[in-house]
Formats: sequence, C-alpha cells, structure tokens
Amino acid sequence: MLSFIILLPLIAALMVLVVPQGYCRRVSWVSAWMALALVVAGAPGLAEVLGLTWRAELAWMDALGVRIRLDNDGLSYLLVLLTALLYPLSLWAVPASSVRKPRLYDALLLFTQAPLFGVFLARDALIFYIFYELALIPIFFLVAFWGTDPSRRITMKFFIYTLAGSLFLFVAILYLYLQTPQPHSFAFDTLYALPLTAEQQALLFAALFFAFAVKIPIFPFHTWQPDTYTAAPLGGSILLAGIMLKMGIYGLMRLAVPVIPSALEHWGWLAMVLCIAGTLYGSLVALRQTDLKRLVAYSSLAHVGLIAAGVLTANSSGWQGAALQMFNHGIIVFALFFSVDLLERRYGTRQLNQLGGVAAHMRHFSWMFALVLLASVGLPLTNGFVGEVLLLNGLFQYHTTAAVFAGLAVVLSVAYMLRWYRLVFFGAAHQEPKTDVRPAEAVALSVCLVLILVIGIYPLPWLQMTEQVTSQLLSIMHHPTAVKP
Amino acid sequence: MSVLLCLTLFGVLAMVGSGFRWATLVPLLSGLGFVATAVLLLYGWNSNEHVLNGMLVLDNAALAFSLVVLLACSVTALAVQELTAAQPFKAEVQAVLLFALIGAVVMTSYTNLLLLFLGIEIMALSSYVLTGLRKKDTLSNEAALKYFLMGAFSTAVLLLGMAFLYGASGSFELAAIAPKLTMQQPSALVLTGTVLMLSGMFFKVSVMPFQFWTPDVYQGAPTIVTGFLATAGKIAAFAALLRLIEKGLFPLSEQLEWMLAPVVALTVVAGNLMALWQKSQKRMLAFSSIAHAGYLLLALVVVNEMTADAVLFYSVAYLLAAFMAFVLLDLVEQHAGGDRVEHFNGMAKHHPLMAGAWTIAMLSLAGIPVTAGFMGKFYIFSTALSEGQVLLVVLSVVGSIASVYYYLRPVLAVFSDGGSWAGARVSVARKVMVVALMFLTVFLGVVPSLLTDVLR
Repeated sequence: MLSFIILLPLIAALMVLVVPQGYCRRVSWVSAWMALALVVAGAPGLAEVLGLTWRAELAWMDALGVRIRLDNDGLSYLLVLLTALLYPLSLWAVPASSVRKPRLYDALLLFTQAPLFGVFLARDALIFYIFYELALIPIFFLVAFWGTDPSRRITMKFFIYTLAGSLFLFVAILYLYLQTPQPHSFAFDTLYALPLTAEQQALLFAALFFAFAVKIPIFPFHTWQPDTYTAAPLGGSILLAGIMLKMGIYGLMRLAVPVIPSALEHWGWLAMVLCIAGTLYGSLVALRQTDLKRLVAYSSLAHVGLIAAGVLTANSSGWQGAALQMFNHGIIVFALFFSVDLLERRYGTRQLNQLGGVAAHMRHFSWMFALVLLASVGLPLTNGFVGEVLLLNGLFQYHTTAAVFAGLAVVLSVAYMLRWYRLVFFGAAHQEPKTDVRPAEAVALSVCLVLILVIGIYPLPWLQMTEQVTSQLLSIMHHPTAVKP
Repeated sequence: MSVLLCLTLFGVLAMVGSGFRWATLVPLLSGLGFVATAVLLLYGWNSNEHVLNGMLVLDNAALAFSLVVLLACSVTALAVQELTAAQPFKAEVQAVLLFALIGAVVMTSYTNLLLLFLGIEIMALSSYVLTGLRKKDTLSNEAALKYFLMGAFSTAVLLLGMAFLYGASGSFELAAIAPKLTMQQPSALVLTGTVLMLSGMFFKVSVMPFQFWTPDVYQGAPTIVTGFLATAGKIAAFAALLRLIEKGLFPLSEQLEWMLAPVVALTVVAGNLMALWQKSQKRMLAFSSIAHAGYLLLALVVVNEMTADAVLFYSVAYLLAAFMAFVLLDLVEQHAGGDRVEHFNGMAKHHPLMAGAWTIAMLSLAGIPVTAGFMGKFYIFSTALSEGQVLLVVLSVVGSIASVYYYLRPVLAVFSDGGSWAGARVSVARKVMVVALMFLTVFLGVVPSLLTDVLR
C-alpha cells in the first residue's frame, strides 16, 4: 500500500496553501522527507522485511474497465527513488526567502511530485496517461511565473508542444484499449498480450514515438527544450530535466517497446537515427554555447538522446544502461543546474566570456564541480561511466555504426565540458573574488558527489535492481507468442 | 405529465406575479419550481412515463438530459438576478427560463416529430427574449433579431425536412418512421428529408458551416444569457438530435456517417482555429462552444450503446466549465470594463478563488486530466474510436491542441500583475455558485464513475 505515497505530496500541497506563511516551507520539508523515507523503506528487499507492499488496485471506472492499478519493480523504483531524492535537494537549493510568492511556489512544486510518482507506479495505461499529463500543469505555472523574462511565450510553446505529444499518446492508448478483448482494459499486462498486425504496430509506433520523443526530447522534436530549460527557475529546470523527461524514456520502455515489437524491428532504425543525430547535434551545439544554462540544456539533449538510443536497442545491456543512466542523469543534471545557479548568484552572470579564474577564489567549489563534470562525461569510477559503457555496449550489439557515432558524441561531451571548465575556472579573473561554496550549498553538492562515487565504484546493487524487470519486459518483446502475425 | 404541469404552473405564476407587489418573491418561486421539477424528474426514473398518448416518452435518457438542462436553467436563474439589464424584468426572466425548460423537456422526450418542432420553438422563443434583454443596447437588439431570423429560418428548414420524411413514411412517429427506412433502399425523398432535418438541427447546435449566427448572437446577448444559450440551448438540441438518430434515423446509419463526418471534421478544426484569433474572450468562448459542439457531434457519427452516456457525460462536463467561464467573464466585464485578455490581469491578486475557478474552467474546457472535461473527451473519443473513426478523432485531437493556446492565454493573464481590480467585490451568491461549479468539475474528473453508464 506504499503506492499511496502519491497522495502525500498532494495533501502537503493543499496544506501549504492554507497554513500561515512561516510554516509553508516546513510543511514542504516534512512532506519531501516523509516521501523519501517511505520510498527508502519500500526498497526492494527492505520492503519485504518490513512487510510493506507497493501493489494497489482500486475500482475507478469499472464500466469502462479503468482501474487504478499501481505496483512497483526495479525500473519504477529507481525513478521513484530519484523523484523522492531530488525533492529535498531542490527545496534545499532554492530557499523560500529567495523566491517570490513562496507559498504558491512550494505548493506547485509539491503538486508536481504526486503525478511524477504516479507515472512511475502506474500499471494501467489510462492512469499512466492521466499522471503523465497532470505533471505538466504545475510545471507550466512554475516556468511561466518564476521564469526569466520572455517565459510566457516560451512556456506556451513548451506546453502546447508537449501536450500535442501527449494527446497522440492518448489516442494510441485509446486505440490499444479498444483492441483488447471484451471487457476492454487498460492494464499494461493486457496490452502486452495484444496481437497486433504489422500495420497497426507501425501507426502506433509513430504515435507513441512522437509522444515520448517530444517529452524526452529527441531531435528534431526538441525545439522547446533549450528555451524552456533556460527560462525556467532553478526548481523548474531540475524537475524538467531531472525527472520529467524520464517519464518519456520510461514510457518508451514500459509502454512502447513491449507492445509493438515488430514495428520496432522495422522502424526502430529510423528512431535510432534520430536519437544518435540528436546526440551529436546536442553535443555540437553545446560546444558553441556561451550561456551556461543553455549549455547544460544542450548537453542534456545529447545525454538523453543516448539513453533513448539505448532503449531502442532492445537488448539487456542497452536497457540496463538506460535505466541506470536515467538515475545518473537526474543526479548530475541537478548538480550542473545547481552549480550554474551558484555561479550566477555569485557573479551575476552565467555567460562563459564574463566568467573566469573562478578556481582561484572558489577552491572547494572548483574541485566539487570538477567531479560532477567528470561524472557527466563518464569518467571511470563515476556513475556516468557505468551507464555510458552499458549504453555503448548495447549500441555495439545493435549496430556498430550507431555505437561509433554515439561514441563520437561522448568524446564531444568531454570537449564542451572541459571548455566550460577551462574558460570559467581557469584563465584570467574578470571579476572581484567571491566567497567560496557555503556549507549549505556544499551539502547539496556533496549528496550528489556521494551518489556519483557510490554508484561509480560499486554499481552492482543498482544494476541488480533493474536486471529482472528489464529482462522481463524484453522477453515480452522477444517471446515467441509475442511474434504477431 | 406532472413535470410539464408543474413547470407550466410555476411559469404562469411567475409571469402573472410580475404585475403584483410580490414580484420580488418570484425568484424564490421559480427556485421552488426548479426544485419541484427536479424532484419529479428524479421520481420518474425508470418509469418510462408516456405523455400525450405517447407523443412524449419520459425514458431515462429524456429524464437525464432534462435534468442537465434544468441545472443549466436554474444556475442561469440564479446568476441572472445580478444582471443590471434584468433588474426591471426580474419576474419575467424567471418565467421565461421556466418556459425554456418546458421546451427542453419536450425536446428531450419527444417521440413524434411535431413535438420536436414544438419543443424547439418553445425553447427558441424563450432564448430570443433573453437575448434581447438589454432593451436599449443595439448589440443586444441586433443579436436578438439575428437570432430570431436565423432561428426561424432553421426551424423552417427542419419543418420542411419533417414534411419530406412524412411524405416518405406516412407518419410523424419516430417508431413508425424507422421501419419504413429499414425496408427499402432510401429514396431521394428520405435522403432529402434527412439532410434538411439535420441541417435544421445543425443550426440549433451551431456546428460548421451552420455556425455563422453564433459569435454575433453570443457576443450581443448579456453574458449570463450567453452562458445559457451555450449550455442549456445546445445540450437540449443535442439531446433532441441524439434521439432523432437513435430512435428514428438509425436505419440510415451508413448515410448518416457520410453526412455527419465532414461536419465534425470542419467544426473541430475550423472552430478551434477561428477561436485562436479572437481578441474578445466572449467571442473566444463562442467559438469554443462551436468546437465543443463538434466533439459532441463526433459521438453521434456512429451511434452505439455507449453514445448516449458519452454525450450525457460530455454535456455535463461542458455545462459546468462553460457556465463557470461565462459567470466569471461577466465578473470581469463588470469590474475591468471589457472582455479582452488584458482585462483579466490581476484577478488572482484580489480574488484568488475566482482566479482558481477560471483556471479550472479553462483546463476543463481544454480537456486536461482530473477535470470533468478530460473524462468527457475520453468518453467521446473512445466511443468514436470503437466505431473506427480514427481520422475524426485525430482531427479532434489536433483541434484540441490548438485550443490549449486560447484557453491558457487568459489563465496566464489572470495571474499576472496590473489590472483594475482594487475594490472589486464579488457577491456571496456568485462565489458560492462558482465554487460549487468548480468543485463539481474536479469531483467529476476524479470520480467519473458517478455519471458513467447511467443510460446503458
């Protein structure tokens, strides 16, 4: 019944709206920590010892075969954990005193957490969809009202673009639902067992891939992403890049690939080309960026393109890598956005050419950031390495050319990240010396660093967590009964 | 019979009352009338009462749609009391609303085409009167006149269609017409009659290309009345159209699909696109109501056992959100002096609850989850998809995507700074009504099973 964790942030959000101003942040804190504690208590292995279960099934619209089906497995757990983990961090990163209208801000932030949990725990396609789209509403307001100047126009583009994607997801889900035997059902298990013709699968693949590609985003459906990430306030960027885009990749793994295997076989290469092209494109554009937040946005585009490519390989190495790298990317992108924000607060700018010589007077920040950077480019002993090796290995099994180009993108990522480091941390100082990283800021970065190193040095338990479920989902795809006429 | 008698009694009392000193009590009286009618309608559930020798059959579908229209009429009756234009005619307006409901009950329960005509006329006459409520205002007068001319013309077309069908089948009874249509290949007479009847109905529900009166009439009418026209009028007409197809014209399902599908495609695409360009939010809501009529019509393209339920759910969802929107728009017009996007600025600062309600209303109209509007779209789309209407559903989805833009623009405005809201007061009655509508919109989105499978 741990799945009712979905309700926790909702209740907290409502409380934030009514408690006296001074207590808003405290309520948010309690909610974020309680969620994290519950998620940790529900870890595979620990949950059984504690006698807790995630599985829940409730009647909702029985007339139409919609039930609230929730459950958890390694893949879901990893993302639920990421969500629970990033919440205290992003509350920590943005003190209530530094935002306008802190009450509404906290309420919206918490209100986003519920659908994020929901998406990852749902085992019913309609419930999945409802949470998928619901997560968009609070983030829309977060970016529109707390973002930097032209954010209205940018948010509108972001919202309409992603909504366009999710409405195609909606149609695809409805179509699948109507193919199920009477009484119709949205349950994932029922959808997995559907016999679909190659033609149906191709159309569904187009709709599903478009839906998730917008969310992830995959080139050329990414145009909303750099603007939105840049204009969004720190909390919004973290949620968007850290968690929300994983909904797309997760959807690809949970809903697209197992349901339409033959389309993936026939058309997967096309999607793969887009993913790899996006990875290269993101890396190349990142090389030329002068705004650090935009640089992170484009590097994120490159990284998630690689993850999506790993999913499309449909082999266990690619999937394991994708699952782990989703988690890693969440941690790293948080650290990157946080660092950019820190630099901007200190120096009043995030332009590469206006910064320089930071290492001279922010020594602790420099080495901390160096570690984050190394994890981002996938140096051994960091978590990024484990994920990227698995992804590249999966790509090699898929097709050598794909792996070669993806590898090229990884090399490029080293180039643009080191360029960042060189220009900002070394070189001549353009500005007055500033205080080094404060203890409170160091805490947030240290949490990331610990995770980066722990996963990097001993990745086995994390990989074991997703092993069973990825092989299960892949076997649905490759199973002989799933070979559909 | 009791329903009609009750409504007539209260309607006449309200009408007569306007001349006496107790005229101020008339709103109370009409409230009583609405409650009594609601009780009678609920009491008749499953009874299948035959009225006027079976020319009206109050089956569950008729009762359910009558209740929905009753809800629309009663919230109009409540909201209209604050309308300055309605002050001199407080009692008459209540009477007219009660009469409109009589028309709606007849429209939703007819089994005889003549009664359909009667019902439409009763409701339409009431609507013309309400549209022209602002006697001294030229726009209001223009709207009333336009509405009257167009309405009269469309009923004439409808009547002509009925005559053709009568010629082909020898009867006005739906039950007698249907078997005649089954037996033979549809003759030219039948097809012409059907097309003419449908055209008449399309005017009433305002789908494209029969929509051109809508924006002007909706803009000219007092905003609360526009809310009434867009909800009560439309829903009653849809209930009538559904009944016509379900009980009378269903043997022509193949031809109906050909007649309805292009109309739906045009309405959902063009309706939404035209709404995009509107500066006046009232006109925006008018075009949005056209688009919503398109979604509703989508469910009727191929009628199956789910259709009535889907239409019912969507009607309720649309009624709640659209009426809420019109009530709030009226508020904006009063306090900010206009209905353009910038007039919404600053609403959240002074009236956070109203701003929240506006947001919910727009999200529901846009069909975002956990609002009734989403579940309504879900119901309609799955009904249409189950009959293989993939293309129409995709077009509707494209329309919905466009609609998000014009629905969210005023939402963003509501939360921005500026505006002239300082000192603006919202009456308690209006607050209560808006909160109730908002609550119902969300509640129906979270617990949709309340209203699914009511009619099957």
